[in-house]
Amino acid sequence: MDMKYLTPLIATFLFLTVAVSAQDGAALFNKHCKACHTIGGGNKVGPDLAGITSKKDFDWLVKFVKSSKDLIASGDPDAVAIFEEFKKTPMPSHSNSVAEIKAMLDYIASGGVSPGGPEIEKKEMSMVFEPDAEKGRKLFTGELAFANGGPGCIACHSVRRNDVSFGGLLAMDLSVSYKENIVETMETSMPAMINSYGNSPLAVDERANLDLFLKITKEDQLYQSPGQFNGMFFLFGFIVFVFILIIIHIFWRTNKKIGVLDNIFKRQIRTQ
Amino acid sequence: MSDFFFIGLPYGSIVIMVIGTIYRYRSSQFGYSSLSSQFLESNNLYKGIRPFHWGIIFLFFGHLVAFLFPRSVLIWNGDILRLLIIEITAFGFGLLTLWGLIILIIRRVQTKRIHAVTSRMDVVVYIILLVQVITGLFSAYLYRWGTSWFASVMSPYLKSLFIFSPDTAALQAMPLWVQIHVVSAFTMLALIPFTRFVHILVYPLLYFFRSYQRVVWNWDKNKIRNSSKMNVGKPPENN
Repeated sequence: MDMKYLTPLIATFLFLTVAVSAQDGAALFNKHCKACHTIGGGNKVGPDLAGITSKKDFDWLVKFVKSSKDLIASGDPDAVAIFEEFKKTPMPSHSNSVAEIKAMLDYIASGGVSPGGPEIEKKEMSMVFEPDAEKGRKLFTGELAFANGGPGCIACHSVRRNDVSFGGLLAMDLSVSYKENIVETMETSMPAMINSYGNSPLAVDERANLDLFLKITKEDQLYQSPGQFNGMFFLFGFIVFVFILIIIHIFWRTNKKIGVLDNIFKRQIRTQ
Repeated sequence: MSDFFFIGLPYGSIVIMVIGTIYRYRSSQFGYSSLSSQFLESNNLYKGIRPFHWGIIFLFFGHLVAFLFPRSVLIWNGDILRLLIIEITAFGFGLLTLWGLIILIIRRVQTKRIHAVTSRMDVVVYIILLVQVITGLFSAYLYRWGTSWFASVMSPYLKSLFIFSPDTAALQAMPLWVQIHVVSAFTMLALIPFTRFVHILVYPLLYFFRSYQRVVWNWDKNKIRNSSKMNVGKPPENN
């Protein structure tokens, strides 16, 4: 190959690589950080990350992202201070590679602007988000899956609503528990919720939709009279049990049911 | 206390199980079985053992799938009909296990011949199985959609044990029935080397692949069966 083509080729390659990694940083940030952090928008569940790369060194940040719990347990004063400041809720551990964490940190260092992508950012900013209670209901029942893969609320919770049947009974009934930001509060403070959503946090819009759904549910309680399912659950379970028992007895009907020594045993007992 | 039950006990049980089973396999292979008592009583055994084993094997693999593939279970449960199908089926299999177990317990208590081959550890086995099945059924009924919350709450706990970074916070917040179920499950693990539970590890899988065995009688069977004069010619009723 002619040498005169080589330099522009390498330059293009490097430019693309940088552009791609920056884009990845934005995508990774949206997936892993955005639910709890902002870049220059103030504290949320976790601290505002603007300027974090100049405050802390790279190795420390990697350790914190990978397992903040370990860093806190090791007694690191900064990690402990953050833990204390943010309601003693540790940041969930992330299994991202060092390269991915670097891409996210580069994106944060750039102030949350991806090169080549300011139009997208602007578009996102200009969109006005309106929570949707119907989407909230679908997220609650699991009809609509959470973006990060967490379980539907119905696994453990129930609400008294005619259009939500068969809620779970492990955790509390949420019919009248609505308070402002209830979803976020529960998600970050209850151990079972941290286990369920620690590695798959709810997105901001999902929380808003759920909040609105729970708010409406609380307000509509007077008009709800859903059927009860407990007795039916037992009854159907019992039917399945009888059904399998019958299948077992049909399938093995030719099996020897009485031992070959049965008569001998009976005779022995008679003579005793 | 909870550290003992939810961290110490699981690790202790696994160590005891691994070392104990290896030791027992090397020291007394003849005892490495379910110690069948079919020879002494087979009527009630037939009625109890099939429901029990079908039930417990289904439930064991159900727990295993929810532990290994929690995401898939949650996706399956996303549809309420599919959730109902899996929950009701699992509950039915739970009842099946309890039914079989009760028949087997009655059989062991009522049949005098079996008393002779019943050890203390057998009593322990029956008690712990009963505790396990009853707490499981209560958990499924009282705190329903266990398939979903097992996948999202219990699987991370079990995973945390396997990666040696135990996190028991969620388990501590669980209802007592569930906690007893977990503790008795780990206790069962520790009992494997010392009880008839060892037969779980030596399922004769080779039976599926071995060739047929030919049984050769050294007399003319037809002649004996068809004889009208000889008493022995009467075919056995139950053979």
